[in-house]
Parts: sequence; C-alpha cells; structure tokens
Amino acid sequence: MRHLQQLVEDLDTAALESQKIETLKNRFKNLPPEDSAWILFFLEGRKLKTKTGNRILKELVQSQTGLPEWMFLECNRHINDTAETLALFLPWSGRSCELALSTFVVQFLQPLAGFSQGAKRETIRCAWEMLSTTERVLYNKMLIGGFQLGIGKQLVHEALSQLAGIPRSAISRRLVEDWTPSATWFQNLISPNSYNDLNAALHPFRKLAEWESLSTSAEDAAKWFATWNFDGLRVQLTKHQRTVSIWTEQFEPVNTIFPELVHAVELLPSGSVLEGVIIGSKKGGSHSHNILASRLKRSHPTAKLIESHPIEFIATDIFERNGTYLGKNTFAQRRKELEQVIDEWSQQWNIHGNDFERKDINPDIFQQEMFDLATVMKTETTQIPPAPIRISEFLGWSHWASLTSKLKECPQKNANGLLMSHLEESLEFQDDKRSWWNLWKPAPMTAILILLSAQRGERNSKEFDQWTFGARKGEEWVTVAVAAGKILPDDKSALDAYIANNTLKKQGPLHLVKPQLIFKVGYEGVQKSGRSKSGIRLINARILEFLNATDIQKVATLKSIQANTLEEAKPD
Amino acid sequence: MLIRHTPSGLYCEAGDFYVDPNRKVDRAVITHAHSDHARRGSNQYLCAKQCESLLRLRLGKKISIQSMLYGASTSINSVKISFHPAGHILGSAQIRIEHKGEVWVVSGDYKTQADPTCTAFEPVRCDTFISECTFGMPIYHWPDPEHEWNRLKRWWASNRAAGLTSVVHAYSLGKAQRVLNALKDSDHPILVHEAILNFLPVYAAEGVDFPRAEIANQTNIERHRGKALVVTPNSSNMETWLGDPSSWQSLDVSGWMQIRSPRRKKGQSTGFVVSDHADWDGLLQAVQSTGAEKIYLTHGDGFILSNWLTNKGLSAAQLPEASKWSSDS
Repeated sequence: MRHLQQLVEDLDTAALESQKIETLKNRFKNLPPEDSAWILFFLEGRKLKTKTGNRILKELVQSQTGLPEWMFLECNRHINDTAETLALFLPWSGRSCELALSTFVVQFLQPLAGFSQGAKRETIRCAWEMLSTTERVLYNKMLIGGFQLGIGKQLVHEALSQLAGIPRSAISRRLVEDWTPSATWFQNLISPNSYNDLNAALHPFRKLAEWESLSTSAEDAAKWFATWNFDGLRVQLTKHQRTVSIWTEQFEPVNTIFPELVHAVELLPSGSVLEGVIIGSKKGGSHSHNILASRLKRSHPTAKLIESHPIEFIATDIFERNGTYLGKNTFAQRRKELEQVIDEWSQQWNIHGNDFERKDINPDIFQQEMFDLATVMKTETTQIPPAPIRISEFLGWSHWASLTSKLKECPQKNANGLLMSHLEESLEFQDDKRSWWNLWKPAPMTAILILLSAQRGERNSKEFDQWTFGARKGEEWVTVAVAAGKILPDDKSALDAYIANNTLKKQGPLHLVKPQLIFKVGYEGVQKSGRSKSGIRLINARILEFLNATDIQKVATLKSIQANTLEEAKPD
Repeated sequence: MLIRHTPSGLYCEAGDFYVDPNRKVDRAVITHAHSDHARRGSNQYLCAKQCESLLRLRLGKKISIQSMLYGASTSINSVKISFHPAGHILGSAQIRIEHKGEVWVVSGDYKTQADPTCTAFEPVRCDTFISECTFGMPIYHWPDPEHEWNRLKRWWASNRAAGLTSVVHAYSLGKAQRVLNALKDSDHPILVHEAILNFLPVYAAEGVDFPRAEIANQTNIERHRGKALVVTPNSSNMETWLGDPSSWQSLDVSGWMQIRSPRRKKGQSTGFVVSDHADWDGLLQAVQSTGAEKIYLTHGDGFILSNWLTNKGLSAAQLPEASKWSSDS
C-alpha cells in the first residue's frame, strides 16, 4: 500500500507531464509485476466487486468516532468526495502499511463480497487500523469506486509504452479488454513478443482538410463522392478474432463509453476495420451533439443513460475486410466493400439484434461464484441492444451546382458541411491531399455582437485571447458566444487601449468591459445552453471583423439569432 | 455583555477598548501581529511583550505600544486585562478580560499543537470564551508536524537528486519561520523572500534557531538552481525569477493541504499539512479546558462546531465575520 500511496503523492507533486510519466515508468519498472498489475487496475478506474456500499463505511466511521450523521453530510458537502471525508473523519494516522498491494487486495478487498455484514465491518476496521490517513483515502476509493486522482489514462499508457517499447495504442487496446491483474498478465503487457497482432489493429485515420474548391472545380464532378459531415466523434471500429476495439483519432479506446457499439461490432466478421463517426441520435433521424457530449462524460454509462442518450455509428470508409487490407483499392472499390459489409451486418443484426433483451441477472449467481475472481469482477450490467451501424448517405449528383444546393441543406440535416472523397484515389500515398477527406463547409452565419468581456491567456500572459460576446435582450445584454483567438495586430492596440480604460470589473484573468464595442462574429449554428442567461450558445464562434465602431443599435437581438436556431436548440 | 460585536470589531464598553479592531480606534488590544488582527491607525496599542517588535515591523516604528508579559495584568477603566500564550505565532496571546467578577477570554488565533517557535497555548478558565474556528470541522486532524517536516526534507532531497529547485509557499510571519526552524540543521542552500527575512531577527532574539539563509534574488536562484529551497509567501512574484516551470517544483505548507479539493482549486496539487490553527480536536480540547459555559465562534464556518457544542449542553453561537479575509496559511 505504501508504494501506491507514494506513487500517488509523487504524481501529485510532479508539475509536468514528462515528470509524471517518468515517475510512473520507474514504479512499473521497480515494483514486483503483480503489484504493478494491481496499481494499473486501479489507475484504470476499475473496481473489484466488494458489495460494500457507502452506508456500511459511514456507519463504521460513525461508530468509531461517535460523530453524528448530519456532521458527516455537512463535511462531505464541503469536500465533495465521500471516500476522502470518511478517511478524514478518523483520527490522523501516520503509520503506513508495508503489505504489498497484491497481498493487500487479497486480504482486504477480494473476500469482502462473500462476507457477512459483520465480517465486512471487521475487515475494513482492521484495514483502517493499519493504514495511514492518505492510504485510507485510497482504500476507501477502492471500496466505493471513483479512483480518479487527476492522473490521465493517457499518461499511464504512455509510461507503459515507453517502458515496453510498444506503441501506446497497442497498450491502450490491451487495457480495454477484460483482464485479471497478475504478474504474468503484467509481464505480457510490457513484453513486445506478446503482440503478434501489433500492426493489425492500427491504421492511420484518413486525414481531413478543408475543401479547396478552386483547384478541383474544373474537374468532373462525378469523380467525387460526397456525404454529410456530422459533428461527432471520429472513430475506427476494429474486430480481430473476438476482440473489438473502438478507437478515437488519438488512439484512445472508447469501448467502455459505448458498450452498445461494442455489441454491434461483435456482429461484424473478424478482420474488419471501419472508419466513421459516432453521433448522438434523436427520434426522427436527426442527431444531437448534446447527446454525444453527455455520453462522453461517462466512462461507464448506466443502462438508463444508454437508453436515454442513444448513439449510432455512421460508416464512411473501410480499411480491412476479412483480414485483407483494402488501402490499395480506390475509394470507389472500398465503398462497394463497405456497402456489402454493412449489408451483412444488417442481416446479422436482424438475426441477433433482438436477442439482446433486457434481462436482470439473478443475484444468486453472484452468491455462488463469489470467490471466482473473474466472475466477481464482471460488472453487473443488464444486456444492452446493439447500436445501429449505418452507411454514410451517398448524395447523388452530377453537377457542382447540385452539390452547392446540398450545401445549403446542411443545417436541416444537422451537418456542418459536406465530406468529399475522390473516387479514384487509394490510401497508398498518405501525403497526397487527394487521398484525404475534404470538408466543404457552408459559409458561416454571421451576427453583429457586442463585446462583454476579454480574458487573458494562461499563466501571466499579457495577451487577451478569449472573448465573450452578447446580444440584446430587451434592455440588457446577454452572453451568446465565447470566441477564442487572437486579434489582428492593427486592431489589437485599439482594443487593448479600450480594455485598459473601460474595464468594469476584474475576475482573475477575466476583464468585464463596458459594453460598447461591436464585432462581426461568424458561427456555424446555435446550441441550447443552460449556462448562460440567453439560453443559447453559438457553435464555433469566431471573430470575423472588429468593426471599431460604437453604434450599438446595430447589435443583433437575441430573438433574431434564435430565429436561426436549429431544432436542437429549441426547448423540448 | 462585557464584550460586544460591533462593526469596528470586538468592543468592551466597560473598559472602552477594542480587541483586534478592524478599523482605527482609540485603544486597541491586539492578540497577534497578523494583518487581519493588527491594523494601522489606532492611537494606542496594548499587546504581549513578544508581540511588540513584530507589531512595530508591521505597523510602523512610531506607533504607541504598551506591552505586557504573559500572565501579568493591568487595568483599563477598572477592567482587568491579561495576556496568555495562544501558541499561534511568536507573541500571540489570548486576552483575559475581567470585570465585576465576570471573566471573558478572547482567543485570537491559536493552536494546541507543539511549536518550537512560540510559547505553547495555555488554557485560561473563564465564563465566556470567544474562540477562533478556522478549521472547525471533524475532518481536520493535524498530522504530527515532525512527520510532515520529514516529508518536506525527503521531497527537497529528491528534487535535488532530480536537479529541480524546490519552492515552499508559506505565510511570511509565523509559518515561514516554522519551516526554517524545522530545517535548522540543513547544509543545503536556502533562499527566502525579503518579507520573511525581516522577521527572523525578532525570532532569533527569542532563541529560535534558523539555518543560514539568503534573501532570494535572480542571481542566487540561478547560482543554486537545482539545489536550493526557496521559501516565499504565496503572493510573491518569484515565478519570474524561477523561470522555466520544468526546472522547479512548488508546494504549500498549510492546514488546507489536508483536503484534496481545495488544493486542486488553488491549482496546488499537494503540500504539507502544518497549520498554526487548532484542528477539530484542538478546538474541542481548548473549549473544554476553559470551563466556559458560553462560547462564541469567529473565523471560518462555525456551523458544525456551534451545533456540536450546543448538543453537549453548552451555549454556543457564531459571531458574524468582521472581515472575510483570513490570513491563514
């Protein structure tokens, strides 16, 4: 336990990411592998099934300290972390526990699920007795979950990757699988020899650039494929043997965030690699960024959240089919393969998709197999129906003009532009822009807004780089947009002078200014926002022009902006 | 009531004086030299003997101060006043006020934990106790300071091994001297902010030992880069001298460091838990040893403690905060 506590403290003290990675590397290198395995288990946010809720811990603390419940609630309101409040309620302890983490887990965590209430209490009490105050915080977190210590998984994976000399994405992929911490498992994790599928899973994402229509406009429009581009999470779905992974562009696995999509990918044949985008879906076929955003906040969503915030996957490209790499084929050929794969998937889904009925697991199963670690560790989730996988819509057209009209439909489709791909290009030459995705965006919407505040950049920066803009609502100004970005040098001095003379109030780096200056602000849509008084937020707001005028009559009203509001932003 | 809470601070009408007034008054009785307790502008100051030099450093040489040894008493308008050690910082005192057989004690800031840089807290029997309550929650149980100083020494050593300069944020009067005293046997370079150094002679005159330390400046920070420990108040602009953030690490020494969430809020991920205030157990112990039946709480959120004391059959209430600003470190 002492080593884990020391590690957490070292990570807390380290200011820089590089120092944190170095700290983690040293620990993983020098600790016995079984202990490293368990450290990793907890840093990954995993939890053993201990069947020990907050209640039993609270009662135990109260019986040990004689302090009443209201006091606990009051303190927890202050700290906002039950595990920590519980640990701090007990008298301070400086003794630290020399037991190896793997031994500690076997003695004080694994058996709990099978114990009676009395035995649980006694076990936890004994553990507290031998732990220091900070170790108790960690132990409590192991018991009730939420082992988040501000240590990003990316850092942990990077440290392992450097230690093992294996790409980080390979490590990340291993860690999303089901695993039981043990010395052998950890040694395998950091042994390059154990990765025979190292290359199989990893294809670079197709690059994406803004459409340069001028250079291609002379070309035959029929050589280009176009589909809607949705504001979602770009991912690759991979299935090799029975292993499913969902990767982001940063090669972060997001399997646990989208379990229903994992189920869906399970229905693909082995050796499939698809690229596409995850979007939050709404009834009536439209989609919502808010739904996706809510889902991304939870690494292990509840069945309820999955149902209330459904997602779907829109496939845009295929890199592998039945284990064969398709990158040498043209996009037209790949598109055909993709259509077939999605067809096959739909057939599978028709057969198996409905099997995933909600069944509550009989708790007795857990009682009987309490001491089988693999069973104990499986999270008790109800089965979730697989998420839909759809193919990106092909926008049939023959002239550039018809495409331009499609561009105008983007807002209705909740798309932020058209995604274009040259039909005759393969993926062989990654540097050739013609093999990339091209994003053709409609011209931004614009509004004249008034400057409400300016914010200085990070750490002592003198420059303002974030701006808050407002619109008129009756007699007052309400915030509708936050735009990042620097200002043209010419305008900058005028603005700086204005801010210096007209700051009404300072809140740290934020300067609230007298509302007088007006700007032309570009944006791509309007989103509902609970945070601001206006109730809306402009998507991708950016300064187009500093009008250097004070004619505030020109400023847009909230109503006129709301008139452009997409369905998304309208109150339900 | 012998002492009333007024906009100017705690006021004793019978004696016509204020305790730690927050604006200028005619006669101010001062518990200790921290700036939220000792303010400029009053005509006459009364404080404990060891507080006098600190008060002059803080408020100016020419102010009119009368000081008294701990335990000795004087009378103002037939109200009897004496000072008793509060264990908060050098010269800090609880003030015992007696009139017509009724005894009140104003604690000022205090701690019950041992601290070699000042005289230990002494409980004083009284009828009414006005106690500070900065850390009045049962989540605050201070570690043994020795434990924390050892952590600090290990941290400094590991920074030296890694070639990093160590920066310790500590309040300039009291906490910083405590840090330096804990490092008195150190042979490695120690640099301190000027504001801290000013108080060292006063402490040294009372027999507190310090290691060799220089006023920090750009040159010696550069010279001792990767080796030095820099002690500085939180508000200083030392960062500009320290330069590249990858070449140094900073930590706070404060009671607030006990909890993770305020640490995170301050952007400080961790630190050493050493406080000059009483923790939960210290507060209860102090209240109990006064034998007081009436308790008033100032500083911090007294909700939990006042409720707890009321449940124990005492009469307890929170005083409105004179000033939200607290000097704790």
